[in-house]
Amino acid sequence: MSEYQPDQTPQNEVVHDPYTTPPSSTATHNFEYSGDGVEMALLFLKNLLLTIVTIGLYRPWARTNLRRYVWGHVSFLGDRASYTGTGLELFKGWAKLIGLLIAAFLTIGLITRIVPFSAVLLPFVTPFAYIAVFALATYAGLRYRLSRTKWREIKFGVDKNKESTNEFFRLYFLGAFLSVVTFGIYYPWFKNSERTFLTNRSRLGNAYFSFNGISGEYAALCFKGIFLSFITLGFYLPWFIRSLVEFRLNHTKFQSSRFLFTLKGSDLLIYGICAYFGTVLSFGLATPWIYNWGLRLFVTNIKIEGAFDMAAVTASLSDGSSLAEQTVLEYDLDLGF
Amino acid sequence: MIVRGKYFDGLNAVSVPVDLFIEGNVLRIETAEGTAGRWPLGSIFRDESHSVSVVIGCAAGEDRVEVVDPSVVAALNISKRVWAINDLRDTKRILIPSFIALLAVVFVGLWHSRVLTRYLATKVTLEQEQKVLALVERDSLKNECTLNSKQSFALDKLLARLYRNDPENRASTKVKILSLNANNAFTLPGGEIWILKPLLMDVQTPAELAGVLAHEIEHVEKRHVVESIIRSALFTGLLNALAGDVSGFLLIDPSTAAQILGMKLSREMEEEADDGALKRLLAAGISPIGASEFFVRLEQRDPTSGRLEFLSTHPGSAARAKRFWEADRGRTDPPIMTEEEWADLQSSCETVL
Ligand SMILES: [Zn+2]
Repeated sequence: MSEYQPDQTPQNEVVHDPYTTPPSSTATHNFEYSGDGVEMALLFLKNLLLTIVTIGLYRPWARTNLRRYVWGHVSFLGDRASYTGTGLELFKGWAKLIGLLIAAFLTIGLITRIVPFSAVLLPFVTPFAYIAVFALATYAGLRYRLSRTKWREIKFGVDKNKESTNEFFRLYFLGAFLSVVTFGIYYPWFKNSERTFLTNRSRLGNAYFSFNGISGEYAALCFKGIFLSFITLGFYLPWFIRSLVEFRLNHTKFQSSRFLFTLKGSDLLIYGICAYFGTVLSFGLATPWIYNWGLRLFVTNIKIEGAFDMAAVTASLSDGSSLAEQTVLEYDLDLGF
Repeated sequence: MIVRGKYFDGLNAVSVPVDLFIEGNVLRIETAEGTAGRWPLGSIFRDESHSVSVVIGCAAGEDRVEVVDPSVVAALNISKRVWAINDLRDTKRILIPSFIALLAVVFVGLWHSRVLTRYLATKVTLEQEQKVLALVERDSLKNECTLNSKQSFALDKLLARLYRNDPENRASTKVKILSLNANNAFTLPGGEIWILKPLLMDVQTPAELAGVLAHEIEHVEKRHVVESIIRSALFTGLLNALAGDVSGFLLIDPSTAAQILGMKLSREMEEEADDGALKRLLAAGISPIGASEFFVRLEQRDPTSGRLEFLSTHPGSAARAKRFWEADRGRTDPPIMTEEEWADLQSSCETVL
């Protein structure tokens, strides 16, 4: 013990002393972000060059590179998260979706050729296809990303089976339909119920997150934000965004703790202005630094308050390697939203 | 040897501070409670999913150790790379080839569109061009025919007619008649046009000669020759001169001077010259039918003729004949020169041949 020299560990930039942080705690804990603008710029440059050279085929790998970097620089209680996904997985997911779309177009083409009258139905059918893709991308995408995220060697996950998938599709179709017929008024209710659905099925190991945000409150927040942003010519927008993120985090619980969001609206306004002018004046060259700054701003302002017991969090059996091959088939559709 | 690290058992979300001891071929992982593991050094691998910190595992075990002190990594004989260093190296490795590829694409684009060479050609002064001309002419000029005053007058009249709409450019062109044994006419650097004696004999009317000259004049005015020299110089790899003096391209030795005489201009340049020649003839009130008839005659005599500069590049003589024929507006302007003048001009050089 006496030979340990903290000064010799420049790579470990954690603020917490990982050796004294107890596994369970009731205090407030920050998320930390240690990403560096120069490294981010190099990563952007590499991704950009390879994407251009490969006429866009490199995109899944570019996305993976970025996630690996960002995940690895987010830490909690002194321990970094890690991303175990690969570009190939994402590529296969995209290829699968494109294959699906081609098959869909061919089928539609065939049907309209055999039954020409059915073409009349197309304008009614295609929106459903789009909504289905969005729904799948939302649910399966989150599942993919969380299943590839590890912290303290414990995987995150999202529960998904046939019933829950059907339930989510119902929720999504209903939400999209009501949002359209109410000219968007229903949209906050839709988004809140989507969040409730997804958060309640998300977990770290065997420990579930939960979401108890009330749709009506969320909607009130949205309408107030839109109204104030409108009459202040957009200047309220940072406070609006802040309030939405805060609502989502405050109502997310993990064991007996909940999330807090401490970013100030004014800081977000300054960031927005700097980001806009920085991007324009540098002809986009400052983008990596601005992006990195934004990540730092958001991540470091997320806190967890209340009691949690990490020792009680165990690796979930359903994440075992025996299931991996089976689930990979439906996992890796991640369109990035 | 002892190093601090963090131990993750892969079962619970706990981070346990550990001391690491390397004892012979074994890494001993020691917690406050006791030994968490003894890993044979040969089975230890770097967990690459941790790209920012150095995390090691052993064989098929799910537990991991994050090595806090990088110096131990050397002792463990595993990959030392962490993300930043790794990606920096990657980026450098792909940066230069990508940049070259990008540059090549841009260059080919500029090359194809002639934007670059057209611009560079304007950077070459007439004096510089004339120096090249001097080199080219060194051997050939002994074949130049001296025209008598009447013949010169007739030729000047034809040229003045062709420059009727832009007399300010008249001085840039100089026409010489050479007694070389080839049926040809071409433009040299420095605005010089050579009409070889056999071609002068071949054309039947002043209008036919005007057609040939109008085409060559367009090569002069559009600086096609110097642009072609720049293109061929660029092509042979004088890229570095891009940064410096453009006239450096014109430093050519006598052997390349010979190449200039045989140089073919690009098809695009020939088409430009034909376009300009048509306009020039019409502006001068000379019927393009003369040039058209000349093309027809050449086509009939030698359908595959490609030696003649005036015919050197596509489109074929027949197509050009048709084009010039159709452009005729049936205007009857005064004749270019009298029949006596024309006969006299055609008889120039006779003594040498
Ligand atoms: Zn020509």
